[in-house]
Amino acid sequence: MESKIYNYLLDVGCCKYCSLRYLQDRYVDFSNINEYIEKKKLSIIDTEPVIKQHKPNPCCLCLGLLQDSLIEDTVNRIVISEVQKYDSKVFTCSISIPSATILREHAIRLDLRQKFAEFYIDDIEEIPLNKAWKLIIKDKISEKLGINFENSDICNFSINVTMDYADNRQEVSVVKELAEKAKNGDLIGRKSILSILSNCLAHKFHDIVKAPLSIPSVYLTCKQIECKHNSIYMAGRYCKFSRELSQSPWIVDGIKAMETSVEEIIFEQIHKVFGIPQTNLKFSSSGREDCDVRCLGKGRPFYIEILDPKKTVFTYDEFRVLESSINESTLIQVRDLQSVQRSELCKIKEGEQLKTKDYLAVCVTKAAITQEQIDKINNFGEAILEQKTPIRVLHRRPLAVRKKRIFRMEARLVPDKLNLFELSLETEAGTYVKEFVHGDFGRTKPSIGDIIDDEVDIIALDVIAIHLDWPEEIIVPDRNETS
Amino acid sequence: MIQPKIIDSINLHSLNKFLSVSDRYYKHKYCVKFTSKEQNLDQRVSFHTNRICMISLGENHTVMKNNKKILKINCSIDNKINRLLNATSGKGKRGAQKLTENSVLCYIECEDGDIYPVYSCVQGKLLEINEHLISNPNLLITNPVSKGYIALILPTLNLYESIKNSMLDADEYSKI
Ligand SMILES: [Zn+2]
Repeated sequence: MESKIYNYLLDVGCCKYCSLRYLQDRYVDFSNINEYIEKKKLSIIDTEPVIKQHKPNPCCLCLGLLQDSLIEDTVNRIVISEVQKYDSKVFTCSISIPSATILREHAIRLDLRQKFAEFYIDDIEEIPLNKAWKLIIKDKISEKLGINFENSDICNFSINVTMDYADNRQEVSVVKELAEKAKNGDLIGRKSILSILSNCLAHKFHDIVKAPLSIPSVYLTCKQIECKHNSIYMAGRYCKFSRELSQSPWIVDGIKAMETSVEEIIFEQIHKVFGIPQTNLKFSSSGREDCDVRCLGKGRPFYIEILDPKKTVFTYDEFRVLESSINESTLIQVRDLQSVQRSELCKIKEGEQLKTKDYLAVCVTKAAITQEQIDKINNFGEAILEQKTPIRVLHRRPLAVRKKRIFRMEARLVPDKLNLFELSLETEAGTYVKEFVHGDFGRTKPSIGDIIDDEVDIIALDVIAIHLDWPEEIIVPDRNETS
Repeated sequence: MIQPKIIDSINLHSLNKFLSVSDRYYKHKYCVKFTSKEQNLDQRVSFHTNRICMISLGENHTVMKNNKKILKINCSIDNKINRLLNATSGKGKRGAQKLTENSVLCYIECEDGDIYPVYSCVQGKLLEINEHLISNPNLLITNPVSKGYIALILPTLNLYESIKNSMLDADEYSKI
C-alpha cells in the first residue's frame, strides 16, 4: 500500500520528498531518502523514476522547496560572513513558505483520502513541509558553516529563509470563492486561508478549484535570508551625580529637552566599546529618580536588553573595560556589570514594588527651625501615609490614594542655617518623598509640614540606598566607593 | 570619586527668600470676569508646569476682603450634579465631570446667609474638589493658596493657551 501511495504521488507530480511525507512515517531519514526507498521497496519500476529525474518539474506540492536544486541554491545563498558576525556556536533555521502550498496540500489530502481510504483511516498527518525542509537542509548548512544545528526551542540563533512564489497571488485568489460569505481585506494570509479551507466542503472545493495540483510553471525563489539572535541582557547598578540629568532621553514635542541622560551615556559607551548600535539597546531599571535627584551609594539596579546581538559572550574583563569607560563621565558611575538571564529580570520589577529605599533630603522652613521641631520628627516613630497621586504627576498617572510607610526618619539641624534641616528617611517602595515633605497641599497626610506645623519645602534629595540585592555584587579590587 | 555632601551639592544663595510650593511650581493668574458691581467674585487660577490648574479665591474676593465666616461649602450644584461624587479612572481620567468656564464648582455659604458661587474658569475635566474644605471650610480664607485650594482641573489641552492668556497676571491684578 505504501508503495502504491508513493508511486501515485510521484505520478501526479510530487517530488520524492513530498511523496514520502505522506507516508506519515516519523522516522524517515530525510537526509538519505534513497536508502529508505530501497529498504521499504517503494520503487516499483526501477527505470521510470530515473527518466523522470532527468527532467524534473517543480514539485506540485512543495513548489520545489525540498528538491535538490533549490536546497542547494538556498545553502549557496547563505553568506558565511553574515553568519560569522554572530559569535553563536550553534544555529537553528526556519522557513517561510508561500501560502499557495496550503491550498495544494489541502487538495492532495482530499484526493488521498478518497483514493486510499483504507490507509488514511484517521486524519492525514503528513510530515509538515517546514519540518521536512529543516531535516533536509540542517546538515548541509551545518557543514557549510562549521557550527552545529540545535532545535529552535533551545537555540537562540536562527537563520530565517523566506521563499517567494511568482504565481502565489494568482493561485491563492481562488479562496475568495471558497469563503462562506464574502470577506474583505487580505485573504492570502496563512491564517485566513487555513480557516476558509477548514470550513469548506470537499465537493465545493472540487467545484471551484479546477486543477489544484497543476504542475507549477516556476520554482520557488529564495527571497531573503536573515540571521537573528534572541535578545541577551546585561545588568548593573548606576549612580547619578548630577541634579540636571534625567534617566532616559527627555523628549518634549519631538525635541530633546536635555543634552544627555543616564541611558544615553551608557549606550554611547556600549557602542564605543563593543560596536553595538544604540538602536539595538533598551534600558530598564528598578524605578527612577527625578532629574534633580542624585542617586548615590551602590546605585540603582538596571538592565539593558541587547536586541539581535552579534556578540553574546562578555568576559569579566570586558565588563570592567566598559565600566571604566562609562565611569570617565563625571555625571554617572556604573558598577556590577554582568550578563543576566531573561528569567532573572522579574526581580527588578519586584524590587520596584517591594524594596525599601533610603533617602537624604535638605528641607527649608518658612520660619526658623527649632530643636523642638527636630525632636518632633525624631520622636514620631513609623509614619503611615495616605498619599494621593501627586499633582506634579497627576497629568500622566491615575488619581488614587495609596497607603505608604515611612519606616524611619531622622532630622538634624544644619549649622549656621536657620531655616534648613537635613532629613534621613527609609521609605516603602513607591513613596513620593517630595510630597511627604511639603504635603502637596494637604494631599499627603501626614507630611513633615504637618509634624512640625510650618510650611516646609524640599530643596535637595539624594537616594542613598535601594535595598534590592540584584544583580549580584561583583568584587573588583580597589574600587573607589562613593558616599 | 567622592561626591559632595548634600548640603554642598546645592546653591544656597538662591534660598534667601522662602518660596512656598505654590509659588515655586505654579504660575498664578486671575479670572475677574464673574465680578459685578454688587459683589467681587475674582478667582485665582494657578497653572502647574504640567498644565493642571488649581482653583482658589482672588485676594479681592468679597469673602476674602471681608474675612467672612464660612458655614459650609456646598457641592450639590443641582439635582443631578454633586461635585463630591466626581470619580475618575485611568491616566486619561475617564468619567470625570466635564466643566466649561462657567460651570459652578461649589457654593460658599457664609454664616451671614450670603451665598457665593465658585466657577471653574477653565474648560476641562474635574480632577478633584479639595475634600478638606468640607470638614474645615475656613481653610479657604486662612490658607488660600495651599491647603485651602478649591479644586484641581485638567484643562482641555487645545484651549490651554487661550484660557491662560485670557486671565490677568499677578502684577496686573495687584494694580486693580
Ligand atoms: Zn515536493
